[in-house]
Amino acid sequence: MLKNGESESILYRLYALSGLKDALKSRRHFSDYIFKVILGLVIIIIVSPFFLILFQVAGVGFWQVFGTGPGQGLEFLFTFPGAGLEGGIRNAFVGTVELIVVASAVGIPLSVCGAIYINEYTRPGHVRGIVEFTSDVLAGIPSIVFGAFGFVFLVDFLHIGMGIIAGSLTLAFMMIPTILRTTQEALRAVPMSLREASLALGATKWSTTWNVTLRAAFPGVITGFLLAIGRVMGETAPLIFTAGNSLIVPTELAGPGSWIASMPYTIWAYISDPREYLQVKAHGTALALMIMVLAIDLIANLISRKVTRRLV
Amino acid sequence: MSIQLQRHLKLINDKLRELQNLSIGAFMDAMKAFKELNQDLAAEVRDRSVIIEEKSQSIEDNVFETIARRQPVAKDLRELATYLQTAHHLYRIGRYAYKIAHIVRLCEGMEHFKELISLPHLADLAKQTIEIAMKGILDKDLSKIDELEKLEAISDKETSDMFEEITEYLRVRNDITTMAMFYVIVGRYCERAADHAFSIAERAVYMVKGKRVKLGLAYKGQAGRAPH
Amino acid sequence: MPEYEHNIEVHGLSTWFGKKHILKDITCYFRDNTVTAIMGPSGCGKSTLLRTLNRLNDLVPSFRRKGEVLFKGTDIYGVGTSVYDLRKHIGMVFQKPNPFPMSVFDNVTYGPKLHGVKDEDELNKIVETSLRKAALWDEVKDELQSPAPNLSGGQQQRLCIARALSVDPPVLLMDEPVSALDPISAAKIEELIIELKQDYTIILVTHNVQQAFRVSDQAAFLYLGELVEFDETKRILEAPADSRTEAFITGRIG
Repeated sequence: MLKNGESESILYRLYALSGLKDALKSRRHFSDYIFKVILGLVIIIIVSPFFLILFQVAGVGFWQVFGTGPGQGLEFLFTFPGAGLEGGIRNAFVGTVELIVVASAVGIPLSVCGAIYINEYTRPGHVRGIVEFTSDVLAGIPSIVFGAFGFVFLVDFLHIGMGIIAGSLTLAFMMIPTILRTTQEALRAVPMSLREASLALGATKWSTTWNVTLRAAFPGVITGFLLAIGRVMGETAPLIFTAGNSLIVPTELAGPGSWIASMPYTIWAYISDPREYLQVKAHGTALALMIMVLAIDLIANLISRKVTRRLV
Repeated sequence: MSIQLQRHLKLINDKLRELQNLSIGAFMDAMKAFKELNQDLAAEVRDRSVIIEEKSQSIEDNVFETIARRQPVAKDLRELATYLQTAHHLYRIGRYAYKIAHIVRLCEGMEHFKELISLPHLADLAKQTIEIAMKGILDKDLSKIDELEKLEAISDKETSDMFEEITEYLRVRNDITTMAMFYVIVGRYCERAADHAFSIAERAVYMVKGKRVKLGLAYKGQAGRAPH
Repeated sequence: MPEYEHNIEVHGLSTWFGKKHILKDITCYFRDNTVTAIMGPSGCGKSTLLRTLNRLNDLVPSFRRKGEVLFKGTDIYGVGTSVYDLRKHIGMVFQKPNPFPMSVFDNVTYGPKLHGVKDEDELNKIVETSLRKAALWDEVKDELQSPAPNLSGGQQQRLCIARALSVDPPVLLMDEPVSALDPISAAKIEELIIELKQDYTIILVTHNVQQAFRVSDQAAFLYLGELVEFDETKRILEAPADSRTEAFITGRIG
């Protein structure tokens, strides 16, 4: 209690601001306060790994990605490793991009069409239930299992051999369950009355699905797709036995010329190497990869926020 | 049905009942005043006409309010519209009471030249007709409507007889002309009152059954030479 | 001289959803260029009847039907009739405004494009005519490219009406078109409906008895799937023939 003439000391102000003053009023107040403190600590624990990783990676690899010296910055991304791996990571960077592009080219049409078929053309029932269940299970299977499957089926059984084809297809298999489910949810979120309005104008079912339903679900579909990419970009296990590795970009579609590098694989390879400069490059690659994934997630976030305004 | 609407209708129904009593009371008292040539009673009846007018206007206000607020349809709408028209008919009957009372004033200093039989009979018939009709309106009881036809016939005959009787008198004497004219006029008012009652009865049928009917056709043939 | 009397007629129509018997032997004729209101308590089958008229109930797998619905003399459920063609002639406006997630312009040209209109001038004309008929032109004529979902509720519903009118259907079905709107927008659209009947036959489902009286020339009272009464609105609101109708419109049931 402030007595006349007495000014508040800094300590007292802190005491009041921190909430301790109110907390000590009664037992209920105190337990409320304790709970808030605990939740705060929990948040810190949850969020800290992100920052810890960021600091670790950036601590070593920052200049590799953002520096302007020789072999740094854009040079780092666009130079091949060359002999002794002293160059950049162009093979990995281009490799990751190519793998993603091909995987998407295969995965997106399959998933979207599949989701459309399930949601628009089947009734809720056994078939739908089985497909949904299988998708969910597949979405949770460890990536190494996909890698093993890719090796046994694509590389060996179908004789495709290691390389860009096998690697992308394996990644596609990983992406499909996720995109299928998110697309299906996005389609389900489109109100029935929108389809009815289109049909009432004399549109066919396909016309309705393509022009109205899919359009309305589009932001949700895109978001799902981007999130799937963001996840798959960082996978090593599926690529170990299916993509091979290369110090250059693929020159042919099959055979040893189709072998392709990727950024996660490169990180793994360089980190395991005792040479000091490769450690730095590994961290640089990791930082670059993190930034790419972050960028994709941010775009997905932006798009999904625009959704709520357009479909109101 | 909305309780509010029920309340509105009940309120108007009660007011109509009061108006009925006021109008019939005024009419019968006016006839009594004429029979007795009682100036005081006549004056009192004239004063009552203000109350009757106010009552009928208040009913009209209530009807408008109910229509605007409750937007009734079908049976309720017919009931409300019927109340409005009935109030008007009762108001007219009250006006006739006033006019008869006015005639009493004009009769100041005069005397009857015969015993009044037809006129009180006519008044009584009018009263009965009004009461039967109003029973249909206020209680939705149409059981006595058929009697109206009989009453009309009797009333017609009575008017017809009275007309002939007065004509006879006038042929013989020439000092009773004014009074005789007054008899005819008063008889007219009685007949008009009964007419209004008939209209009320027709409205009652419409209100309950939803159909418009014309009453009083059964005995039309016996109308005789009554001039109306 | 047309061989049929009315654009839309219903003969002995009964419908089921699975085992549930919804409509029971309905027969009625909807007079051209009038507004017919179908009213009744909830669950009595009004929307089902409406959706049977443009075969929207076909979407429900358990739907079964007996009896005929005649459009210009031909049974719309007959063998060989095209559903897509039919729906060009019988338009529909729904309870909740449902503009497509496109611009205002694209919403209105969606229908005509489906049915083959490609010429840009013609499309522009259709857009202006439809929006004018729906009393929306003045409000959006400078913003035809803005997204339709950005319009207010009343505007969106008028857009949906314009959209339905864009293919010029002789018959317009409306399923409680204003019940999701604020009273002022609702009133505007009710006035619009009365205007539109000069050019279109309008069949309107409503649970609001007063609205049916404000807007319609004929009224049908549906109760538990039966067509209890079908007559001129004037007659029904003054003295309905059936006591169930009277009980409903005076608020004693439903």
